[in-house]
Parts: sequence; C-alpha cells; structure tokens
Amino acid sequence: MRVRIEELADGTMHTAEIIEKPAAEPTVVLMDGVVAKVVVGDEEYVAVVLQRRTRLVDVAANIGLFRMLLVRPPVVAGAVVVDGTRVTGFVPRDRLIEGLVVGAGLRTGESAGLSDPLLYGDPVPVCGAVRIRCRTCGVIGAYDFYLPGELVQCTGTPGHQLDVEL
Amino acid sequence: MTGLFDSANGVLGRRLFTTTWVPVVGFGALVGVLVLSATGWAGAQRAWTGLSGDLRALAITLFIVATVVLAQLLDIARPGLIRLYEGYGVAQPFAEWRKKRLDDKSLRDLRPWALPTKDAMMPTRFGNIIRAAEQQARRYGMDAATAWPRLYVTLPEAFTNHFSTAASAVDLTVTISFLGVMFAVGGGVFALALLPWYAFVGCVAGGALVGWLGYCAAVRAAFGYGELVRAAFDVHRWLLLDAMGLARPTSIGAEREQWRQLHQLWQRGVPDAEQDHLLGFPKDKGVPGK
Repeated sequence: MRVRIEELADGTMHTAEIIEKPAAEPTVVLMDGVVAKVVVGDEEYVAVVLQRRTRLVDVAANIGLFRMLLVRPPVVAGAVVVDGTRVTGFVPRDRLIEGLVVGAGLRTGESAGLSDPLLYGDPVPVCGAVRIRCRTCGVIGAYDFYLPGELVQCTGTPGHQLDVEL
Repeated sequence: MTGLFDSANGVLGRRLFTTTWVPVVGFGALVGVLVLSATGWAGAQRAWTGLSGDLRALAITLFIVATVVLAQLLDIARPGLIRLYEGYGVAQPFAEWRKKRLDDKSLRDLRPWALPTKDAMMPTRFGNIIRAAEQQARRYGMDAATAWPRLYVTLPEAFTNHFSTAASAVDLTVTISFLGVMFAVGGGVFALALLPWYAFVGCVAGGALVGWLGYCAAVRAAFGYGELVRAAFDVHRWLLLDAMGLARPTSIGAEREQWRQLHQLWQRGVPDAEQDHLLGFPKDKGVPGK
C-alpha cells in the first residue's frame, strides 16, 4: 500500500532535448525542461509523468491511466519519475503494471502467514523400537534403532555390550 | 479513520490485518459498547469532548497499539486454537462419543479419502477434514507434518499464493468464531454483573451465534485448505527431492521406501540399517538421479 513509484524506477533511460539517433533504451524528450514524450527506438509514446513520492495505490486509483497502460498496441512506454521538474528515473510499462498489481494490493494472493509452513497435525513418530535378544545375557531389550557394528550397551543387564547374532 | 486503518495495515501486513486485526477491533468495539452501557454514554461523551486534541490523538494511538499487540498475540496463539477446534485435547469420553458419531460408513465407502482412518478420527468435523487431508501423504510413504515445512519452501509461488488465501480463510473464520465465544463468556459475565438481564441474554446468544457461524464457515474454509494440502503432496512432492538433489523414484513402491527412509533420517538422524541406498543420493557426484 505504501510503495512509492520511485521504488520501481531504474536508470535505463536518457534525457534529451533533441534525439540525434534512435536508442534501444527509453529517451525522455524534454521541451524547455518539461517532459514532452518518450521515445524508444523509432517509436514515440505518451509521457506519463509521476512525482517520485506518488504512492502506487494512488496510481492504481487513476482509472484513466490504468486503461491507458493496458491499451494494445501500447501507447505508453512507461512512467517518467520526476522530482519537481527534474527527471530522476523511468519505470517501464510491464514493470509498472506488475508493480501496480502487487504493490497496490490488487493481487488476490495473500502473503504467507506465520503457520503456513506448518501443518496442525502431529508428526508420525519413527518406527517402533527394535526388540533384540542379547546373546550374552539372553535378555530381550527395546532399542530406538540398531546399527550393526556400533557399540551399544545392553539394556537387560547394564554393564556389558550388546552382542547380537546377525 | 482511514489513517487508523492504514497505520494498522502498515504495521501488520494485509493478511494479519484482515484475518486478525479487523475482528479484534470489532470485538473491542463491542466490549466498549458494553462498558459504556454500564458507565453511561452521556458521561463518556462529555469526558471525550473535554479532552484536548493531543490527548485524543494519544487515546487513538493507544487503541491502535493495544489492538495491534492483541492481534499479534492472537496470531501466535492461533495454531493452538486451530488444534483445539480440530479436537486435540478434548476430554476422552466425550471425544470418543463424537468420533463415533462423525464416522460415516457410507461416506467412507464412497470417498475413503474424505475421512481420516478410524484410529485417527477427530471429535470435530473441522478436525476430520484437516486430518484427512494430512493423511493424503501416507499413500506415498510420507508423513505430512514432518515433510510439510521442507516441502513448503519448494512450492511454486503461484501455489503458495493460493495456499495462503485458503489458510487466511481458515485463520479468519476460526478467529471470528473464537472471539464470538469469548464475547459470549466475557460479555455475558460482565452483563450479568452490571447490566439488565436482556443484555446478558443478548451477549450470550449473540456471541454463541457468531461462534457457531464462525465454526460453520471454518468447516467450509477447511475444505479448500485441505484440498490444497492434498494437491501439494500429489503434484509437487518431487520438487522436494529435486531441491535436495536426490533421485526421483521409478515406481510407487520405490517412492514409498524412499520417503520412509527420509522420514527416518529427518526424525531420527539416520536411515534404517543398510537402507541408506534407498535415500536416492546421486551416484555421480552432484548430478541428481544418476
């Protein structure tokens, strides 16, 4: 809700009074220091000028602008971000639409909650205890697990190693 | 008023704002109405108009802070609350009676996955829907509660967005139901002590009605939530194997064994003796599945 347009702006643009040769990056054309249009390659686009502190939610509320952004073929290349009259950045059209949908809270998806990565049920305990007869004392003991070769104390008569016939 | 909502939304985030803060504010407003009914509206109005602008702003700030803190505490307590609504911790004789009542043989014959297994039945309908969904993972040899935190981080964003929406609905409905019950109890006691008899009846009946409607809505919401839990295991479980760099199984039998050994590893720290080859570690260094 509080995302501002300047947070979406990047530096891939130029400003110029006169375009000498077409550039792949957007060129913001100024007339007497005021933004007049945006040129990308050979195409000219309407200049949408937004003050850098403008909130995305306010941009999204501008139905006319929103419609203009969605027109095909595109008439807007993006938004020119200004601080007063000084151009500070440019937000490409696709990035602006995505930003409006996400940043203005228009997307239906919710943010993850505290308990989303957990289910409410209890984990199933590991397999039941292994019951093993000790060859030395003959007592059948219960063990969480038994790894062959590992030294384990016999639970039947404490003080000696479990001896298992495998 | 818009500023108040924006402040709370900014602090809490949209989900906590809608699922918890708004119901808490509604609950607080109703409690406020009860208290003012007991102390007198005219006196309260005089006291409020007598406050300076600074003190009013301070009062509003304190109200926001109190409700935000309450909302966050409720958010932390909610998993326990949801487990309570599922029927965990319900006294045994009553729980057994409810489990028998809810066990529907015809439903079990028609759609066996719609109910948990007999030994895992819960004493509430809400609990059975969620428990049955959590048992879906068993068919692959997985334990849902153990695997879910690991699987969740590998799920596609589109899926977690849907899941979050479904989980929000469960959160919201359980919160509303719980606050309704709290109002019936707390408001009822307050009204009994300080207000006329009809206020007591209104508090108890109104709170109980909200509690019941909230519970019914929670049951509906649990269906969507449960289906997404099932879908995550049915559709996306191999994303977890991919994320761990383990080989995908080539048959359902091999898959069950692989998940069983992974479960042993996660829970106990080691797979079964001489069964570690079933984990699916890559045969060629760093190349999953080879």
